[in-house]
Amino acid sequence: MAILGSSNLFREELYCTGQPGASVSSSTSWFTFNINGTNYNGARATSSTNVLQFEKQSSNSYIIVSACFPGYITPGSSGNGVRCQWSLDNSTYYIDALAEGPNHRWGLMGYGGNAARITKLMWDSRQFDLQHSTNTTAHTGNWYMYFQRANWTTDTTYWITYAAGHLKYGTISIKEYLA
Amino acid sequence: MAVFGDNNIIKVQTYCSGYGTAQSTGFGGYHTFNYGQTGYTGDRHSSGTSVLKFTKLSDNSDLKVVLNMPSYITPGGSGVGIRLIYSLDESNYFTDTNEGNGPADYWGATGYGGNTSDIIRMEYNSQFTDADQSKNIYGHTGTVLLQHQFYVASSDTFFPNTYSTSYYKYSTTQIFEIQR
Repeated sequence: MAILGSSNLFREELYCTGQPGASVSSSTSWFTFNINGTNYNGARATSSTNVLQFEKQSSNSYIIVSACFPGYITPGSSGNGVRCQWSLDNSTYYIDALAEGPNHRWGLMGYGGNAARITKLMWDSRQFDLQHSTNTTAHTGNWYMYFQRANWTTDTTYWITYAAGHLKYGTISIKEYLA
Repeated sequence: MAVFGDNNIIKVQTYCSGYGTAQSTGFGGYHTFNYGQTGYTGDRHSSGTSVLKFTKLSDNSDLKVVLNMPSYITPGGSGVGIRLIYSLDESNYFTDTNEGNGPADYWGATGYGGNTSDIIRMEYNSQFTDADQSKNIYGHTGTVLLQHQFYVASSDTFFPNTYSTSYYKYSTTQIFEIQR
């Protein structure tokens, strides 16, 4: 029996956003949100502590990124979304797999009035390769990623922390699997 | 490529709550989530079947604790919080944050939109707890005890897991030990 073979999960790195200040937005444009609050952890790019860094070790592997971000939307007559941007050199960045992220700009929370939730997202690098004609599977060395949020119409969303008196935090993990 | 090194997953343990009667709860106070219902799985501590037991192998590792908890809140005018409590000495517990109110404060894990059903999912990260609480889960070996807790922020009724015995539900937890 092979010890390591296709689909073996062999590495995982944990990240925590710490407890950032409130990131309140009514914007329908994509903006980066802070993941570098008090006591954040996990490797970061030298360029910004809002950019995760992951060392991909194998030249024949893919990565799965999962994230838990608390959020609160009001009045919730419409929805919101989160997407990632990723890079293999911290210079050329690609937008997610789809330009509006995995849930589009309206499908992560909302449409039911005010709502609080711990949102859950997951990304697969194989989808990035399919959509951008890249070859991240063969890449070794650092991988970079940050996260952005937007609203669909006229709601206000509080990403992670609601206010200084209501601190919250999110977590992210990056797993490396043999292809 | 090294077989074992930084960020290798050295152990995974899984737990299931089982199913049973509803644990409906109203406003106030943290409540330990009933994790010892019919057919529960995974190691438990002698102090109670809701006390998850994990044997940590390395003195150089962090824990990731993944919770999946079906829930229903009614009337949903306000919300519910969740938190994780740890013990390294099988007696004294500490919470995952210094404030004591978990990753979404005491109200932000679900709710505020009227009646709401949801699966609450969270991935706790012990490295953050070590920093925020000045603890050393990272360097500890041996028994780690864990309990999931929830808090109903206002005048709602919250049903973690099962709503009634006609509608059984169950929760799962996975604990990953990851070499630093």
